Amino acid sequence: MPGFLGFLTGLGNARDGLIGGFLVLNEAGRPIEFHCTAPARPNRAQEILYGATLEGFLCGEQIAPALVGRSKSELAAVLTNDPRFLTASHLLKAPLGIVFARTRVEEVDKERYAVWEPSKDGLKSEIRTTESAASETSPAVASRRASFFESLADLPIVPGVEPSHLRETTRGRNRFAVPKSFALPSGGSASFDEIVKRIEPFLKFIDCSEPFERIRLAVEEAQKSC
Amino acid sequence: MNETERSGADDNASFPLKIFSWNRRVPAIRTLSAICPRALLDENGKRLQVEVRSLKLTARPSETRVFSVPIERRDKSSNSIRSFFFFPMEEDFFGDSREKKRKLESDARSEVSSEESPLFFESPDNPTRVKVPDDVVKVEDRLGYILQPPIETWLGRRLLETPFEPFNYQKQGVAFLYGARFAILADEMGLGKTMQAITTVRLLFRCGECRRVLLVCPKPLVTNWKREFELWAPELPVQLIEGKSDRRKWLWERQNVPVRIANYELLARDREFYDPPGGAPVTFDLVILDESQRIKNKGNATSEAARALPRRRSWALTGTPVENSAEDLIGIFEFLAPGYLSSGLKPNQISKLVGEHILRRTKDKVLKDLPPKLIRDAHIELTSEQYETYRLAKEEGEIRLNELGDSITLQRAFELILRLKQICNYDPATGESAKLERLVADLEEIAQSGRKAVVFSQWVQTIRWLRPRLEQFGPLEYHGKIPARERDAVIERFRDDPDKRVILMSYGAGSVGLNLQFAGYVFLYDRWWNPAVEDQAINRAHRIGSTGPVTVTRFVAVDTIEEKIDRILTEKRMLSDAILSDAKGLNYSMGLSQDEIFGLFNIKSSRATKRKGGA
Repeated sequence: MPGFLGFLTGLGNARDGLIGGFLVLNEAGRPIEFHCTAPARPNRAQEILYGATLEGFLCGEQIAPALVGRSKSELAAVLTNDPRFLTASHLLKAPLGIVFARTRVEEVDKERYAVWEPSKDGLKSEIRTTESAASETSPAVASRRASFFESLADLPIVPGVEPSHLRETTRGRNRFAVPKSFALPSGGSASFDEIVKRIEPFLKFIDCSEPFERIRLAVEEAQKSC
Repeated sequence: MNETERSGADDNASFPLKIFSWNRRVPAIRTLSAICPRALLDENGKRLQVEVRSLKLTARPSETRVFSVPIERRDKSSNSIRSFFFFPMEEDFFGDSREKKRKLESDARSEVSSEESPLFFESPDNPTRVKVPDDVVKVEDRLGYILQPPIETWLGRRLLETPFEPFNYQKQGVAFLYGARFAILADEMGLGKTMQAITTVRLLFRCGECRRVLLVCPKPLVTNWKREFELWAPELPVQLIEGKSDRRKWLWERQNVPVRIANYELLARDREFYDPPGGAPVTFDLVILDESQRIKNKGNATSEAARALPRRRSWALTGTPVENSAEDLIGIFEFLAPGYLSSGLKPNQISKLVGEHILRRTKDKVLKDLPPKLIRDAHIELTSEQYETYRLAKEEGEIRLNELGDSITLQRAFELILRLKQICNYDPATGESAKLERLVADLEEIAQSGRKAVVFSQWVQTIRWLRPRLEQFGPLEYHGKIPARERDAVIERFRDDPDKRVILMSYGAGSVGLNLQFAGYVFLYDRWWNPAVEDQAINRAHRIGSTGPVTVTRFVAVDTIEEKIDRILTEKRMLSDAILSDAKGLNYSMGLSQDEIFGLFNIKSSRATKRKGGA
């Protein structure tokens, strides 16, 4: 059984710069690897080419494979709190799941944090920041906790992401969804139960939603030194 | 699917679908397939033939920054992704205790499985994160701290089993110490500095950041610390540095001893063992000084010996980082970070410099639910015979001081103060004692209610005088004349024997490090020179675990030198509180100055008068 669990998240948005952070933890919740990108901004051609799918493309096809590909650890699974990364599910070497919030989204401090909302046409999702959040200079701060959602049904529409491929489950206060099946790089496939079984040992010492805050703090620290 | 790539412009090509990509290696068709599968199908549901065209570099608007993480370039562009690798490991520090460790882990597992605790870890909404030290500069080192799990992760799921659930402020204390290269944990007495230090040591061992720790404390507290280690870190083998010279030398040099405990007296004596001239010193990963006010005087041998200890981290534990003046703090910092503070600094400069390195919490701030501490001053009128003895001794003493003229010394004045204070305790001529009468009356009431009391005095002589007179309450003694090996048994008897209602303690031996929370009453039979020491004594009983209010009675003999000293100390405490209330909680309690000591008496010598005038 692979001995490490990956946590993947994105801070910011395509307009202000999107930073990817990837943290690998061992079973005791201790850090093994951390990778982050510089703020990524699409060029005009990309904006035209990808349109509504731009952020899903950047997160799922660019940042996620690049970050996870850097990992030298054998990963049991990768968890994200950001649906934009779910487009990477077929590009990663480990099954990718999404972690849901422990509290209701409405309880998130909207005065301080940005909230990611689907647009009216249902095609394009974007980060809508409140006034105070927008005034914060760091994109990482602006998007803090923006990506925790209630459940699969609550996920915003992200082009390229098909939530029906995922199935929800709850372990303690941890709520997450993982693929119903995953084609392993070594051949064969892992069922939903097998994927959950891979994740379970980590939940004795790790609260699924907590490491994303570590990533956020680490990205802010890494940004300071750039 | 037939994917055709054409870099050249052939506008007449008959491909029904064209995809333009700035990078031909981007899996554009796969992306399109994922986001809109129907776009790749014709109206009959058949796959369309697709042309993928490369956009030339010039197609990019010059002002747009190129996306920094293209997949195929990631290995060439090292600055687009920053990677940090960590190597957490658990040190094999158990040595001979490996069996013990296995048993502990087995016990913990069976306990977890048997009790109905949740199987999965639940982090609090605001977890306590390890503090990144300011002096850690390299980003990878800083991330090493930031990315550590919250303290609750360590403590919450038996990675570090603790006998009691730590308070939140204690977790913050652990988070503070974990990253600190040099620090003072200056919590008020009774808030659990011992537990915080031991838990952090445990954590450092678990993280492989510590292999050799030395704890230095006053001699009476050595066994107390050993007991606390056994309670809070049962898996850590602890070795006391004791015995004859040869044995101590061997103990200092012995390998594979995670924690050593030494007392301050040994530190100076054994310097050649841990820092041999011309030889390889014994380097410690961490040195902790408990009751670090012992090294406040930079010039004394203990302080010098402590500074000579080869070490990577230095912590000081004290409830009173500043007992008399800012120099005390400078003295402690000479051990923590030599040269960091200097004598010429103003208090506000010191406060600013040390702010990051001192953590001080007071009970009223963090323990809202701690039982109240009721302090009452018992103003005792001496009996007529006792007061007559006092008056005669005072007049005679002042005459002698006046006879000394300009050769008067502080020591002579001090001797008189001690003599008068002793008479306030009891009259050696007649054996009368107004304080004793009051104490007996109070103790009768306490004994009837099933409670216990601690009586503090400055003198062993007074304690020995009191003991036979309090026989009905089963008194126990605890002071410097009681051999160290017998002291623990005394405390245990006091705690466990219902017939032992009172323990008589000296300030020196009993004011620090002991846990007497089962005692609901504290009597200060005579007063110490420094309120900070009195506070330490009071807090032996008023601390975490106290089950009810703690009543403190301070005896002050009316119209005597005790009353004068009490007045001066009270005024000083009020003054320092007013001036330094915002100095990060530092306790600037002050003792008596020379001028104030001379000022207690009616002395006519020019030297003393000058001093009095100056005061």
